[in-house]
Amino acid sequence: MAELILNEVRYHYPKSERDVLNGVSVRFESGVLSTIRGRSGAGKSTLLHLLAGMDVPTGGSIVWDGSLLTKSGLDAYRRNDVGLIAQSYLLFPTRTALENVCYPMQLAGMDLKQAKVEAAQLLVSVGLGAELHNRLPANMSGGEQQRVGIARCLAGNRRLIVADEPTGNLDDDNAVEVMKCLLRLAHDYGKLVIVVTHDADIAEMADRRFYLSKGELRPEA
Amino acid sequence: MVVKRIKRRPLFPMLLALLFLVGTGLAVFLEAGITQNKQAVEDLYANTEVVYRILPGPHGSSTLKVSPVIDKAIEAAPESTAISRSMDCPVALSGKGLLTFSWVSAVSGIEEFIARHNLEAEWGAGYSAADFAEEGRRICLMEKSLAEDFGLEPGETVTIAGCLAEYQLDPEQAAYVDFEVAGIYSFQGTTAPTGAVLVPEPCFFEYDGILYNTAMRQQWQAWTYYSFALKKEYNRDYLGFQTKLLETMNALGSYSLYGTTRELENSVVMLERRVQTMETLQPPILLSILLGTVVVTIFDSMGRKSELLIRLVFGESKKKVLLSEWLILIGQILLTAAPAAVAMGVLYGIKGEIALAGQLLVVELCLCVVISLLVLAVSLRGSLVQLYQKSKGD
Repeated sequence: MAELILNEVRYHYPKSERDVLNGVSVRFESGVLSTIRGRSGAGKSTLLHLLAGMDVPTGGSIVWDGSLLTKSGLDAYRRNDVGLIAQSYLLFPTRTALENVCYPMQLAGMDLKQAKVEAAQLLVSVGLGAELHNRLPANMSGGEQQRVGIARCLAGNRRLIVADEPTGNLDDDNAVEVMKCLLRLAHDYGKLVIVVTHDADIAEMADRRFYLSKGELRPEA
Repeated sequence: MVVKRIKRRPLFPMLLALLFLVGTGLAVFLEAGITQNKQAVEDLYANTEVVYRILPGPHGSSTLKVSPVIDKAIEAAPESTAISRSMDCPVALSGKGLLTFSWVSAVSGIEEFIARHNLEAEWGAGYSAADFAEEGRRICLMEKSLAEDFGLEPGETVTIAGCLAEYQLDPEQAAYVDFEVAGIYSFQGTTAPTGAVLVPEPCFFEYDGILYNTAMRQQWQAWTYYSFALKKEYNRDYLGFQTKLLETMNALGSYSLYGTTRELENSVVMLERRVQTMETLQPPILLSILLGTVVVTIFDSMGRKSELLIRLVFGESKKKVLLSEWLILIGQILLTAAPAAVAMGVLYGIKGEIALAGQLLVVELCLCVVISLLVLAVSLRGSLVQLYQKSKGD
């Protein structure tokens, strides 16, 4: 059972004296979907960057599955453990849905043929039928693209899924479907899912909710 | 992967291929044009014969002969060929019961005259050009159609009588001079002589010659042409030669100088203008092609930012991402350039001009390779957080 522990995490940008994150301490567990809400400028994006392994804190520590995250270990962390779902989907524009999902598996050294079989299963598991597998992202709707992004996070057995405003570009129906999908990742696949969002309705669907204000993270009632 | 990318994102490769093709095509076209036109100028200077004629003063003036000073000056000038004289006079021709009016040219050197006017002379049996220079010989070369009208053959006789004016024969005053037809001439091109009958020069001036009295001589001697040609190796400096000659002529009297330089000048000026235009256009056009290539490569490379970001987010190292994306770009560029190179070969063949097109293609390729590397490197320069934030438009 994987867990992500933040101990007194602080962060300030270079050339800035102000701490954007002011001693954040929290423990995330696998099988649970947590949301982090907050106003603009509260430090949501900064926290997401740290959770997704794009940067390391300037103070405190982040421990993933018992190991301290260091700058030198970030590439491996991102490559093996964390999957990022972005508001803008971040899909390869010149690769089909199937090829996008295959990418992390190929990166891990899996044979392309096998990767395609697994990718097809993952796409079906997030509700994308075979007729969509060979489409380029530009020929898919926003909801479909986001599901491709979710399927890609599942590929390569990543245990931590970090979602950055995953429903930001979607209509209400699609947003709910995507959240259901993410909940299934946590509940059915045992993933540790953290969703950063500004949408209170979306946050309502989470198992645990946090609110970030003035660089401090508090559980949301 | 490279082919897939080209198929799925064909706009930039197509633009690049178009630039390669247009660039090489224009390079070949311009270079070939410049080379051909320069060669044409060289050929014109090398092959054109500039012919000059000097007329001794305006018609009816007292100046009847070209000053010997001019004669000698031309003979001595290294630029000119030997000077020759020809004189035209209207005549009545009779023979075999026929009478017609025509013109006779008296020439000082028949061979030079034949060459100058591009004539084809068929000498009769026993006659040659040397007979024209023989003192006292009354022979003539007759224009082919005129000879046919008269039914005259070499060896037969035609009677020539000078006229004071065209078609005005004074039967009582005129001297009727018999000439043996030594040969028949025909002409090609546009430089036909005035006279349909060519006779040796002395035949005009002998006591019983065609110009049988003073009035006739005064009337027609003014129509003497002193002709000579510019040696071809001096064609480029014809203006300098003319200026020098005109200075000598103007100092000695009233003469008119006519030359066939206008044709040469017009052709050369037109070709040189064309060369100049092409040489002026060549650098900006080629520069635009190169600039276009750079712009297209920049856009194509920048279009890969999202792919770079995804690969970094999934834990690939910057170095690996840069190198592999660059190699893919190079593969794409080479695949794009290949059809352009083949088309260039098919369209233009292996010619001298292809060297420039090949050089241009290589420069374009090098630009693409360098620019794509630079753009990719610049795209990857910031931290992952910065790249991610930029992708969100934050």
